[in-house]
Amino acid sequence: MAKNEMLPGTLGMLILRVLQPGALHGYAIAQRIHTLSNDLLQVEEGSLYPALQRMLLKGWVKADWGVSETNRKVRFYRLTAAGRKQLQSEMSDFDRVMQGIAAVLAKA
Amino acid sequence: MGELFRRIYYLLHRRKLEQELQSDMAAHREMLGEEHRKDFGNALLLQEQSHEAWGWSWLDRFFQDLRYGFRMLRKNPGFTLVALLALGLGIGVNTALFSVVYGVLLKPLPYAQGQELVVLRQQFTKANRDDVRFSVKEINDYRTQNHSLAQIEEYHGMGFILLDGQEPERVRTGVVSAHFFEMMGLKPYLGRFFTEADDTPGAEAVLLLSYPYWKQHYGGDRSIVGRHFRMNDKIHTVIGVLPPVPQYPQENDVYMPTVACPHRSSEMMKEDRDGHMMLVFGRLRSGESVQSGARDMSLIASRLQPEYPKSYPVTNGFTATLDSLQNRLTKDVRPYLLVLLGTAGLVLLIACANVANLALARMMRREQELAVRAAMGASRGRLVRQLLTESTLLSVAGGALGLWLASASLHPLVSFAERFTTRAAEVTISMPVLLFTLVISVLTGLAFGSIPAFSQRMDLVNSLKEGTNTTTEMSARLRLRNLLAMAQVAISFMLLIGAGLMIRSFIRLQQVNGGYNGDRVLSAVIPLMNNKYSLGLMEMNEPAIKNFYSQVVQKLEATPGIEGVALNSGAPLAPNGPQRAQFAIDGRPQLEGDRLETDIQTATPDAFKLLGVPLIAGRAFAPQDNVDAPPVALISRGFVRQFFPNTDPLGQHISFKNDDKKHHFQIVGVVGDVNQYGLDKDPVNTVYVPFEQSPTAAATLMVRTSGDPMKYVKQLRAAVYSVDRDQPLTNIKSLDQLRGDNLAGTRLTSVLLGLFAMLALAIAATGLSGVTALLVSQRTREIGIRLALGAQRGQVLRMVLTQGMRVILIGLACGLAAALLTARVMQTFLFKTEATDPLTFAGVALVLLAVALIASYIPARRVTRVDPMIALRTE
Repeated sequence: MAKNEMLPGTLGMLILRVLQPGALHGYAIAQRIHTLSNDLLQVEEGSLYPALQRMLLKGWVKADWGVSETNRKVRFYRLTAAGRKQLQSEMSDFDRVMQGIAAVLAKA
Repeated sequence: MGELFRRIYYLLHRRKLEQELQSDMAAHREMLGEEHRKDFGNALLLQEQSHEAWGWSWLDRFFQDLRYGFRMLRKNPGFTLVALLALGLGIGVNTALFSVVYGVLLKPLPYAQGQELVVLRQQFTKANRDDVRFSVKEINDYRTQNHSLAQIEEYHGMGFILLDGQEPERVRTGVVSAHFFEMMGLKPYLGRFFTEADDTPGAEAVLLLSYPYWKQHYGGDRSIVGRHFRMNDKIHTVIGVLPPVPQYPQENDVYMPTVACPHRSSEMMKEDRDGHMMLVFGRLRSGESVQSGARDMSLIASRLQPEYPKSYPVTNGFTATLDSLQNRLTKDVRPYLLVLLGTAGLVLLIACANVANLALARMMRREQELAVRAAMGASRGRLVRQLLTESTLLSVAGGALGLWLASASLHPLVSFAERFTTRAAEVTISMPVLLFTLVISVLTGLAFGSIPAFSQRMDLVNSLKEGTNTTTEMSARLRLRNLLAMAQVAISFMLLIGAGLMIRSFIRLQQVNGGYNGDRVLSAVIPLMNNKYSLGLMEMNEPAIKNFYSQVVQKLEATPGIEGVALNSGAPLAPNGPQRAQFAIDGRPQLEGDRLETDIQTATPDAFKLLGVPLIAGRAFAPQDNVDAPPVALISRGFVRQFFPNTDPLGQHISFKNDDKKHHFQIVGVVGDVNQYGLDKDPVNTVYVPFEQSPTAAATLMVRTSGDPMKYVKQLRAAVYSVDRDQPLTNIKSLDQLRGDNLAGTRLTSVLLGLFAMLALAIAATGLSGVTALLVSQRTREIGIRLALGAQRGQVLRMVLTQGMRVILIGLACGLAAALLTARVMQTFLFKTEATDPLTFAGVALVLLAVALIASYIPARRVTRVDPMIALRTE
């Protein structure tokens, strides 16, 4: 297992989280995850898209056309109300799991 | 909810969404720049995964498979055509038969709670009479004593003459008790049904019309209610019209209540416990079953028996039971339909095996294509799905063809079923039939498709190496093909046996001469219903009747081209026939409960000569045997055998129980037996009495003509009309036609089974040809070597044929075993033919062998044209 691979199932949560402040296009989402993780998390950038498709279908994000910094027509993804709720629940689930793991690691 | 809508939105706008996704991904990669582009990953794969997220990829794949399947079928028109034809025929015969089975056997009766309707039945088990009708007295007994039926209603069919100011017409009349139609759960289409008051003696005569009769004769005129018709010399008022539903037990033109039928309402009929004329229908109380109802009926019968020992002698074994109406209506046709449906199933099975075999052969050629697809990442499941989609596509197309064939062939099948059941009219290609066709089409496709699909081993390396099919896999495939060919031979054998037995039975039946000669004889029933032929309600006006008939006979005798004229009670094999009567032999003490019964026929002296019935002993009737002479009788040979085994019957006297004149008839002669009721039924004992002494008001007129009898119908009508302008003729048929009607059931079954067997044989023959052809093409090199080493071409040919023969012989053996086990189901249809008739089995085996040999010889002949040099150079 490569050191920088993500925990399975967390990519969606990360995407939702970086979209929380405001709409971003795909490239920007990937960059935000890189920077915020201090380059520790290396996402295979293309895998954003299947994840985004799933979230679009679930109605957690919406896509609007906009123009990128490079002057290209791209879609900006933004969080919906349902997406916000989903993010909350995923984050609290994740917290609980982490606490559990940490507790075991600490006491065992 | 929202997700579902979005999914559907995605389905509908896939093209646009895909472009958006692509442009997004392209922009992303652009921004990544040249050196980081590999960070993006496999764009194509990611795109595929994104589609997966939409949840419609299975549909895409399905359409892809479908398109691909279409292309493959178009590319192999030969295979497609043969397979389509085989499947279309197989599915077609099944669809046609299922539509009959559904309409007749499965579809619920079109009546409210039809499953509660039952038919009562009395039986004299020891006298071999298991369907005795009911007398008025008996109907009352069952009505008052039963606990299981909510209602009991009676029915009998009559033919009356209806006069409405136009031509006199004989109408089929159903005579029913008051609540018959309510019991069936019907509502009047117009007017009202009968009431208790209508069915009370002395009530005004009323009439109901059937829907088709009303439509045809009165054009659906709604003012028909209240119209008056003359029937039986009474004015009948129309009170209503029945709804357009099938009528049970028979289709009739009009219906009347029991009191309006002069026969049924006569004092004699009402008092006679033995006047078994009526059918009795009932509706089960809720909670009662057919079984509990049947127990109830037999309980009543066991009470009646000791009470009336004269009517129910112990020696006759009297009992009663009931059947559900649905079963009763379809009892006669059920075994035929089930055997035919089973046969059709076998035809489909052969078609399946044949197409599977073709597909297997094609698989060998597609090996590389599939291997390439597998190498490029197609999973095994995906390839199997692809192959199954192709086969199902083919079979559904075959199903469409079959549906068309079925609708084209439905008419003869319906007229076949009509001979056995009134429900035949309800047969159509309905929704359940369409569903059946779809289901068997898909199942067929999956069945014949899965054989090649799963025999496909994913041996990539070997398949990719062109031309080097591993021998083990080849031989496994070959074994499978041989197995399929064997199955085809075996099933063909079974079908041919079925057809062979039926045809043999038909020939046997046709050879029965029936004891008479019906060549060039035309017959017609002339029922004298008019008042002028009767005195009062029940008594015949004998002089008027004799006068009428003798005038008609004289007219016809004077007609050129007519060689003989005679009268009797019923032509041989005609649906109307002689009556049964109880009799006693003078000077012979009758034991208590001993009930002697015989058929009694009225005949003019010429009847025997005209029909070619031989006089065996004594003398025939003569013109002198008239009213003033002592009454005489002739008896049939069977009658002598049963009642005068050791004595000379001539000169003995017999009397009849119902004869109000109390005549004692002297037996003056013995005549040959006649198959009156069916060529497959033994002749019935018969007493003949002279027409002059015992006339009947419903005589059958028979004329022997010098040419085609049907050309004399006009003369026959003219002779009758010249004597009485209002007198109708019914059942005008030549004796050959009556004989044909009698044979029709067996003939049609033979034809259908024969057709199925021929179909199966043709399909199997092409299958065998294919197996041999493949064998030859695979062994071309080996054959080349053999020829080069000096083998004779004849030897090589024999070698190939022997190999093919093994398949045929094993198939034949399996078919033989299966046929011996299953032929028994045919026994009920067979006439004087054993289900294991050795001659049929041997003949069928020979035919099959010959066809199989020819089928394999044609492709095998190719070995004789193999050029050893070319054969060795290939590969």
